[in-house]
Amino acid sequence: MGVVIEFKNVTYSYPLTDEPVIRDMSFTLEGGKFYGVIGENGSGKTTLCSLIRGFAPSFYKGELQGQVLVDGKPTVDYGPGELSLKIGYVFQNPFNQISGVKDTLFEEVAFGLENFGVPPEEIEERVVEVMKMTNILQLAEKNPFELSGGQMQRVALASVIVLKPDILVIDEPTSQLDPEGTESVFKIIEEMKKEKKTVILVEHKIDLVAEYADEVLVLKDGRLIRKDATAKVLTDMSLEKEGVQLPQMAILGNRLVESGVPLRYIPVTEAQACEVIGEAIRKGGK
Amino acid sequence: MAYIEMRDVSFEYPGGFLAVDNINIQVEKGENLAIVGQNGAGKTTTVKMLNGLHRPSKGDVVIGEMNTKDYTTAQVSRVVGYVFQNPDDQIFHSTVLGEVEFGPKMMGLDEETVKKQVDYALEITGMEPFREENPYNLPLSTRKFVTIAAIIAMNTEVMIFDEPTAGQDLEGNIRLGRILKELHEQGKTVITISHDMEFVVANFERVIVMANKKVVTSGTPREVFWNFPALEQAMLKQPYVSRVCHTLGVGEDVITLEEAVAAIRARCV
Amino acid sequence: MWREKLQLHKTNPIAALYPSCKFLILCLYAVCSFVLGSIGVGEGDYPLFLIPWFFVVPILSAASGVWKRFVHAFRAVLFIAALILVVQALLIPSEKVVWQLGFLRIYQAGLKSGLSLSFSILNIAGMFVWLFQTTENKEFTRALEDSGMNYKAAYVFISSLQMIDVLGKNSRTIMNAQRARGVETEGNMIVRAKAFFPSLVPLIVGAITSSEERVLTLESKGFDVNGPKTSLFELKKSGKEPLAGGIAIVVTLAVIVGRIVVWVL
Repeated sequence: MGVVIEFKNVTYSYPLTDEPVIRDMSFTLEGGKFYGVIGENGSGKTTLCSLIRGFAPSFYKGELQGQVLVDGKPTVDYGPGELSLKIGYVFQNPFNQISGVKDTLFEEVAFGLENFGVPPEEIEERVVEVMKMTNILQLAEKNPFELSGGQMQRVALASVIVLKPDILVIDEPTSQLDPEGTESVFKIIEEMKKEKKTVILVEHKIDLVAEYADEVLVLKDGRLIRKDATAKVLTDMSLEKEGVQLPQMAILGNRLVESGVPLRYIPVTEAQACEVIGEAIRKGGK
Repeated sequence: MAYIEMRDVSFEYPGGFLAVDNINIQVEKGENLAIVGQNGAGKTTTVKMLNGLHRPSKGDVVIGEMNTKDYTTAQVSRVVGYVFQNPDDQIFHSTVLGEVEFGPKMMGLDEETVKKQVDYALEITGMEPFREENPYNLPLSTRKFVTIAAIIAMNTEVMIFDEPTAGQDLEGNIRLGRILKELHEQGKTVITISHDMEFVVANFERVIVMANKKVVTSGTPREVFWNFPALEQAMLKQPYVSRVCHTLGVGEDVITLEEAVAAIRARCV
Repeated sequence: MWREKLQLHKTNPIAALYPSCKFLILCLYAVCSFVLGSIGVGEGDYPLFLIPWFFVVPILSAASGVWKRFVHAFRAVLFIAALILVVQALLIPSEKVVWQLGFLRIYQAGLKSGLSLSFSILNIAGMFVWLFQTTENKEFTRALEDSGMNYKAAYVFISSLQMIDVLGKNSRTIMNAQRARGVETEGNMIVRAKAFFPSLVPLIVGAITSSEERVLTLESKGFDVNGPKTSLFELKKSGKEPLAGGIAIVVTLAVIVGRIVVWVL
């Protein structure tokens, strides 16, 4: 698949601020790939997401130089609501993503489709399908505000996935969730990857990024300092100096190599670590 | 008798929802303790009973000589400080300084002591440069440190942190570790809820595992993270390095990176 | 199947009336209250007709099958109305004193004004309580949209109704956070008043920041799209609307005619 998102020399600052949050950024994202976005807090990750979705500058205003293109067309040229069919956006806080006008989860998930005037028979079909996929169908008759954080975040994902966007932008979906909630959210994201959606995920839990992302973008002070295959970026120990948390497995691999244990490659996931360290142990012969 | 005693404690919300079911916890003075478990396990309800925000429906919570039943929350809070999970639930001053001063001033301390404690709190949380800033102009992860400073400035004997690592980056996690170490050296009793197992291993002497409104087990990180029945019951996983060592069958009690390197190296070289 | 499940199936014929019909009844009831309130009875010109008229509200609520919910929601109104009656009766002076106990005096003008104000409140607020207890939020939304109201205005109306609960919950969390920092929230009125300000700031800031995200969430779900919308929930008329509205109109006309008759005589 070709390029779906392109940044051309993008510099952006919010209104009433002097310092740009995004500085001279240029890159392309390809369709069907899973991108992890990492970097320190305040490095511009959320603003990057807003730019892709067009919230910046159309909602936040502020000053945009350069161009953000989605499917070859600048985001500022899209009409209201047009981008919601192309890009699904999920926020950090699950609670604020509840529309606040629906009494049941089923209607909450259907909300977007109603807005687009989809016929009721089709709405029902699509909502049921998505609720099954996100494992919330058993909650369908509950009030959205009665859910736990993990359940709400699944609802948030379901209510954008139901619009069938090709691109999903997900901003720290799990920072307020427990391990079980986190896992359930990642299962859904993995499912999206299988359906060949383009996924852009901001996430601090680096070990999960290592597990799922095809490529990783590293931001620092509003600049893009790395964009490459996951295994390549996350084994680069020099990034620790840039305030980037590296996966436990990559750190372990590097330490082992330093201490004289030969590894075929530096692992980033648990499965890889078990594979290469297992090999080394068998060769060691003890 | 331990400094903090929770004896046969249960808590039921008005409306009949049982959140904590007959637990016993003892904490010695100066201990640092982590509580882990899934959401809904009863962790937050438990710590809220420690600072009197909740009164047990059954059993007793005693801190030092003080049974929380006989005191108001504001009185208990002079001994037990509690940092909420969401900083935006508690910040209401227009400057960081004002926010941090509020607690010690409410306690009626003299000006000099207030200043000393506030300076100390700003210093160790790294909030000193933001003294005159409006907290709401700072990013959420920094605001969290403002609320931590606000509790440290009260210089309470016991300090409770509810998921301090949520949304923090590498630098934030390191800074939190430093703060916890400093408080421990000062002899404070620190109780922290966390979902980050690596963070727990790095910073705590003892871990309590909760599941299903009950305490499943309690012990050193090494004991807890190799206690598979307990982990399974609480639906928790080992830290990453322990998982690898467990799968490969090297080192039956590894919990840190250094130990993992040593154990694997011993088998290879 | 699901669409069927989401519809409301009300068995009570009054509760099942179309929202606009209930609103018409409410308006006519208010008109009657004004008319009846203008009839002075006895020496003090007291608006005594308002008192029996008020019994219509609880009777209507009971007949609509929402008696318990009505009582629960109505208690606050009752308290305020009683307070107004007492304060007005004691504080508005006139020459004529109706009743005296020590230094407490109930004046004629005060009693008249107190009765008029408190029973007007009971009548009108009571009808609103009835309306809201017999009508679900989604019925309001659909009715407002069907009446040609802008869907954005309908959203604002309905989400504010829902947000009252949420804000209440938030304010409790914030109160707790303040207590944990040594603010006394338990105790007498002065102590509570002092605690009020610290809890207000996070509540307002929280509401503002969350509304920003909510706007973007709505935009993400195509709320702003121009063009026809569909709805899973269908609001149907029960068929009894002409009858109910007719009764209300007849009663109102009767009251007005009665008033004119009293006037002329």
